[in-house]
Amino acid sequence: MDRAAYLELFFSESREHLGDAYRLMARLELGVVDRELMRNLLRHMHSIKGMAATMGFEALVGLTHALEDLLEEMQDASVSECYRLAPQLSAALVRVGQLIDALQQDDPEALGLAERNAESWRLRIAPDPKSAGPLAPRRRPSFLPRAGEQPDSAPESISDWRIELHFTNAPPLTTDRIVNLLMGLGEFGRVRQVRPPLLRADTGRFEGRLVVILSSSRPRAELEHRLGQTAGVERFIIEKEPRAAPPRRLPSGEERWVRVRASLLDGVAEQALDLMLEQARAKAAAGDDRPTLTTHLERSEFLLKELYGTLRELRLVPFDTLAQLLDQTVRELATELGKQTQLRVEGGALRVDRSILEAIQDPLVQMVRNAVDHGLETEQERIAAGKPVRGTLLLSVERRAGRVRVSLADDGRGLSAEALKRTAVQRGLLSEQRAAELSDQEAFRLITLPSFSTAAEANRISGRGVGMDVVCQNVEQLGGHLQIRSNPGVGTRISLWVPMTLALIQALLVRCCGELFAVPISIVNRVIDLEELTVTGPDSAAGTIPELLELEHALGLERRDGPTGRPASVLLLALRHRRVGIVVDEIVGSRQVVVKPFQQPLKSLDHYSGAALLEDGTVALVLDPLQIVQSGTAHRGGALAEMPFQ
Amino acid sequence: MPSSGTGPDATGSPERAEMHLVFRLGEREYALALAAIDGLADVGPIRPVRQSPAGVLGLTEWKGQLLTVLDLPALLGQATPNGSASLVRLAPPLDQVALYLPGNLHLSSEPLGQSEDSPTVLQPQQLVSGRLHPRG
Repeated sequence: MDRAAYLELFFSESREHLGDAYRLMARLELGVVDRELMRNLLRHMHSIKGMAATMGFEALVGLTHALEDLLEEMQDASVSECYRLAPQLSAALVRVGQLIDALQQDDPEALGLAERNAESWRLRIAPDPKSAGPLAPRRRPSFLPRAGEQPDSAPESISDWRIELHFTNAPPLTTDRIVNLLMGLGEFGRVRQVRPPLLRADTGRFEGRLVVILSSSRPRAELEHRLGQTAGVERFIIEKEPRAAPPRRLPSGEERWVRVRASLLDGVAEQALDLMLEQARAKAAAGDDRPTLTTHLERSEFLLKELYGTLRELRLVPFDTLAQLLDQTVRELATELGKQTQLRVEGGALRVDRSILEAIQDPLVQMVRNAVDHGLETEQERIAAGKPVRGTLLLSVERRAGRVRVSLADDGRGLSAEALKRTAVQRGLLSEQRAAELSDQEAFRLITLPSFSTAAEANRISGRGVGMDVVCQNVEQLGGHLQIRSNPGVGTRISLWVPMTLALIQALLVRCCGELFAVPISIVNRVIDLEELTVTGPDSAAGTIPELLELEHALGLERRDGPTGRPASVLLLALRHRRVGIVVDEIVGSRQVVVKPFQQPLKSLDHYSGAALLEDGTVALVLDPLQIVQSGTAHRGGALAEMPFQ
Repeated sequence: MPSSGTGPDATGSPERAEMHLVFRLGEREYALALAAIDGLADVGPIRPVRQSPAGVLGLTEWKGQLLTVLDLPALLGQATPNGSASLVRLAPPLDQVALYLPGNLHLSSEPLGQSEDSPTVLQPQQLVSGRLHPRG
């Protein structure tokens, strides 16, 4: 077999299985212990093992095989025994992830370390490898139903019970109450169906009657006894529900998934954008005096937008794909630092543009590392503060106002605005007077200053305080921004606001020295007429005065004689610490543009993020204001200007 | 020094791969394998890009797409003559690049020889990556 040809597929699929296993593990840690969960975990480990065996990754085969043993043991174990074994299971999953990472990096040193870690764990679980080799047939493929069970139907001893519940009016029937009831019923078997849907309970349309279909092997008398003791249940009717025939499966081929290379998908989406542009140009060329043609063009415009919308959908991937990587990071760090930590994810099913997800991966990993290392207290500190020993990180993602907000909150020690100010003054980053003027919110943002850290010692977990600076920079490069909220003793929440997609942006078109440029509007705080500014000098009060950077000089443009304009407007940028204005000649307008990233040999140009083709065929270079500001120097001899700044 | 061959992108049909686009710059003749070319067009507006590497004229629109235009005479160390010129779009994977090609072009279906008089066959990949250096 040509192994190389299947490597990419192996890594992609094994990570999917591992991600699913992490999700199940998180449920286990939240208290959900049932055989189905264990079976599913086993199924994922079995799949990874099978693929690893095909690829010849022996260490991974050995580890997943030992994991299968552990899961099999847990499947038959009591709930308390499962809790006892859960940390081992979690540690093993981390090692599986590390092994997969090391195999993908193809770094012998990393692989050696991961293999040694995996082997030491495996020996703890299965000290005698000869007793059952990893590739030896298992006692039974335990993720499959046990002997006598049918995969698609429950065994005969299990019955489906139709339970009709009528509730009293007081206390008011809420979703919470119903969920508690269902959880109670869950101890008797598996709740297969609830009618009406639970949401109605809180919308006032719930009529005080609930029908639950429960699969259970327990006798009717036990169920009756339990329901009779349930508060709020006025009366109930239990009857056997006729067993439904196994669901018809779709004939093979009707519901199938196809893996598509991401670059191919990007290419098709880009072609659709090109088509949209071409269509807009055709519409402009048709003019107003050809109504029939215009109607057809408007129809094609609509269809093209629909097509692009569908293609954008195809580029979306669940946020969970990133969350599982972060989960792995949390587990590794927590083990290393001896801090009990859990990562909870909210909104993980939200699908986000792949390019955005890739761009925020590194910032989020850094934020997670900071949170576990610095944000969360030690176990002793948490006990002393009356907090649960286990620290919690909550990662949430949502769409808001046309953007994606990703937040990481911890229930740790929080940030001290005063400590941050003191550190900034000690390091010469702020004067005492300026520090005293800072609000708490402004003080929190000090952690995003380059090389800022209040940690007494830099360490290898979260670096030397450069992390948050890089996080901020990366997010701003995406046209996003960062928000920090913190409450001492309670925790910190850092939110990243990023655009929905990178390809299509709302841009401000500006002209300078006769040339047309596009600036992402998300990074422009305000546009100011240059004449409103009064240039003063470097002695003016700092903090309210922006630096001015002339685009003409920053890009080395040539101002020829003639009507090429004069500097007239300032784009005030929405950056973190610097209040910088970029001087241009003219604001042309704003519109949506498709950014085409530069290819070789222009790729190395930092000042641009690409170019955009406008409807009339004009090419506008898309500026990267952050890079321009970082590499440029303020003009006008320090260029300080008084202005009505917010 | 003259060389011969069909270039690294000679992926077309055998007939097409043997054909070359031949042109003269100064005293020399050069050739591009037809299989390495995606198309020819008149020169339209070219948008200069400040601080771009030497040999880059700028960006141009080509059927709704943006291409980077390379100044072929400059890349070959030749003066750019006045007069007619064409844009030659390279074939994938270099199809984001067009070469600015002044003067007359002609097609040659004859096998290019090894003699001193034979045109120099250009390798597109080298033109795009190997010979460009950041400007001063």
